[in-house]
Amino acid sequence: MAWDLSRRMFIKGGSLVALGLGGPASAVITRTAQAAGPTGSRKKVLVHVFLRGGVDGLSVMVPHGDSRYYDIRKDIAIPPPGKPGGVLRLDDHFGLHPALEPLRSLYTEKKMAAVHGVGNYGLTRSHFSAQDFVELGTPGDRSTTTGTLARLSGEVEGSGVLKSVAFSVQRPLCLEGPAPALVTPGILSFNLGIKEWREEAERRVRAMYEPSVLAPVADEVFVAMGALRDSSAIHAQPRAGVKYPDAPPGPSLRQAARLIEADLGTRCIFVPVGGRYDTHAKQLEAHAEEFPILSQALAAFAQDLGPRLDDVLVLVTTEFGRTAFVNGSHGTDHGSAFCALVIGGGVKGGRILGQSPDLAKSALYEERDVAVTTDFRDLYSEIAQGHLGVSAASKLFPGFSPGARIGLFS
Amino acid sequence: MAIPTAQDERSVVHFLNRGGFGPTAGQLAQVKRRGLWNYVRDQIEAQADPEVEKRIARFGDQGYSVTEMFEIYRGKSPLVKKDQPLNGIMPMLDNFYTSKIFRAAASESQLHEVLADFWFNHFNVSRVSARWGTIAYEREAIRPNLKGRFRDLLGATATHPAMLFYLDNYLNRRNHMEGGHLVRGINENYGRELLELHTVGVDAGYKETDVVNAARVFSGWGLDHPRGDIDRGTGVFVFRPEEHDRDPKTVFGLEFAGGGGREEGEKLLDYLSVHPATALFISTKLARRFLSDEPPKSLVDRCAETFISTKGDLKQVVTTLLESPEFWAAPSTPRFKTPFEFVIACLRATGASVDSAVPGLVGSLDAMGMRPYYCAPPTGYPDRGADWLSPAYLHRFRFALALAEGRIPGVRVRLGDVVKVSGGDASDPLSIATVFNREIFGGGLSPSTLEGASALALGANAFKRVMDTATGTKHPLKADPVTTAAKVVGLLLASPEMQMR
Repeated sequence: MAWDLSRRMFIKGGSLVALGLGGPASAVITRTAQAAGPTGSRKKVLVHVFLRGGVDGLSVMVPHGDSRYYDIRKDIAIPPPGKPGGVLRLDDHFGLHPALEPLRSLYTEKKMAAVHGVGNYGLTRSHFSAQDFVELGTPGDRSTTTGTLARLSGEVEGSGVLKSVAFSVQRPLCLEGPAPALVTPGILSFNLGIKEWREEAERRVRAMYEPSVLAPVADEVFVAMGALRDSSAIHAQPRAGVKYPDAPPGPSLRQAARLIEADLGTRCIFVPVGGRYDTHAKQLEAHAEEFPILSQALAAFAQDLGPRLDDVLVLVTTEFGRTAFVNGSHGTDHGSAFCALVIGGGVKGGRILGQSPDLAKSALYEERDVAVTTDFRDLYSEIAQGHLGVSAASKLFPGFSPGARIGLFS
Repeated sequence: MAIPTAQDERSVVHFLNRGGFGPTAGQLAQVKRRGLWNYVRDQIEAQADPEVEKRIARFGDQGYSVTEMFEIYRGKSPLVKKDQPLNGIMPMLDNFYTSKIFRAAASESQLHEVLADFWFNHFNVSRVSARWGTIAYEREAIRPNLKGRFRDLLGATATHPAMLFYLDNYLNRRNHMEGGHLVRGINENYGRELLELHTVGVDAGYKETDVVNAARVFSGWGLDHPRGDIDRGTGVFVFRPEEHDRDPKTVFGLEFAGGGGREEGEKLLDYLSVHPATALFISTKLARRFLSDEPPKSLVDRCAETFISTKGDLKQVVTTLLESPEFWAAPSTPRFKTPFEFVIACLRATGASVDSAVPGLVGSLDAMGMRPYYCAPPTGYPDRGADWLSPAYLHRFRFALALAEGRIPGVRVRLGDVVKVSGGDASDPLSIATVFNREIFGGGLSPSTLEGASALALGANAFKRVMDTATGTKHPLKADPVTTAAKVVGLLLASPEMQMR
């Protein structure tokens, strides 16, 4: 299993005494949480929106120009461009799902690119294994003790608990590792919720935790709490006219924009989303519900950041794509390749990159899934290098030999 | 088997924390009077607490079948006004939350409630998709089978409308040819999670074809909804022979000649329910719940042996676990509480009365990432305590302080009474901390926690005060006793020791 230091303390620290419940703190506690001060200059930021559930790539960037798409998808195919509820045509071959309309202008303004055929060659069709391997970056190997985003953050300049942020409750596997990270569903209520004796309570709670093995966690809490409280930008409103949806990932992206504008040293932001993407049944209905929220949130984020979007790259991925064929429940089952979206951050957008899905039965993986043609680690490495200037792919993905370039930035 | 004869406070508190949701004030003495081992045996045997069940019945959420719930939802039941169908179902769902929290916090059958929580989470269905079926699911499929055979639990979940709906098995039909074209009907969702999450586990070594074939075995399992429309019909389990795949198939070593109909599914459940991989997978999860995130292999193996030799008798497996030397040595490997365990432990420690879990307690659990019945993926909520360690931990502090101050809506705390019946002085921080240390922590609070909480609100004389109290010198206090008790208890609930079990 992969554990971050605080988790491994439970094993290595061993006994209750070593856990600090009355005894000395374990020697493995090395994580120190310091909030980095305002950086002064605008640093590049990566925002990874991770859609849990396995999003159907053929529904995101629809190959309306391929008649086989209509053969295999039957009643859950998106009608051709021009038809009611039809594909939003981008070129002769591809178009966006109509419910992703808010993303269309990002594409035409060349701020968004799509990459088809991304996935994990060491395939597992288990949601949970597939998500773990994406987040650890080591397909098939669960012994990895650090997450991909944590390793990436480690290669980027800066430090402190706000350098890596996940809008989540549980520390995601991608942020496993010795470095501190802020993990919270919300930054606006990141306080003790009391007024009259706040300072005293904070002091007392901190003191109780100091000799405890949980000290690193408490330390992260209080350092982050102080930094967030002292920043007025955190509590500012979105840019005039920007409207985020209330459903996920709207609130997370709204707060991510504040965090970026506050310049508190944040470089990597992880936004996990658990929507109705596991579309085994009634896929059209599920997408009609989820896609508008997702695309409105992404478009609002881009609009909210304004020119700052050049410094902020948003990567949208999932754990795997789905079967090419419609199943018996107007849905699709777990598959292989998905379609990634890359927004902002100097990406040369307005293009659909990677290999176009080959929907001939013989070309499908195990005659059922859209085949993987780009390793997800190649996508990640190219973004690390092109956007954040981190060139050491071998450090990001131990044992991985990079494949062909996708060409996001050229 | 070595059973504990010791009656020491740490052992009693250890069992109350692991075999239950934590001590209440006075419980330590009560268990010692009964004898720790007698108490453990009582807990293994005990069914749901009848007093608590009686009080819950008053809430009015209990006893409705799925079909009745559909009628209520559609406004066709005399329970609701026809033009406001949701008025009937929503209070029922709210009461469902309250029932879960009320049972966990108030039941004398603590082990029973721990197991109910464990098994619901193992066979998770989410209210988000299984909706009101979840209520009947817990009552009909989970709670009656906590201490029976694993096969009964597995079968009850497999055929329950909530599970059939949640994992799409009700839509699972055979693939067939129509006019020269293949019509795909198989839905793999339930077949996959049955293997990966419910029985043998993801590392058991089954193949992709086993997943597909498991789905084929269950093809034809459905719900009584005409044309798949959930707004019609009774919504109960039905088998549709015409939708069943009649060809031969093999699932993880079990061969089906084909044409077995509904019995094929039952046969597969029989097979998986006693498979050695299932025994190991279930034993590991149980040991993780009761001992630690990485339970000793020796114990897991013995539990698995019991599982195999008793054909999955869950009471026997739990007994093996609770009688093991590893379990009684487990205080040395503390486990971080999940948010639900933490919240319930706080309610018990403060002698809280829960009138309604909505919006207060459910809101707090939501902020901690563990809203009951809302875990969308079929994995259930993480069962490793350490998975919950993150700065979102802050919400435990917020909850601890708010609960002690009586600011959680729907919950009444009477800290003064708790301290008083335990022989303490609710106006004296040190006395409060001493009572809680004895009653809730078995004397296990660290000096820094004791000092941090009890030196509070005493201003510049804090240390002198602690010293004088230790030597018997009395000082009158001017602080408002309620506020003092709230602050001291709030800090104790926020302490590192309260997060561990």
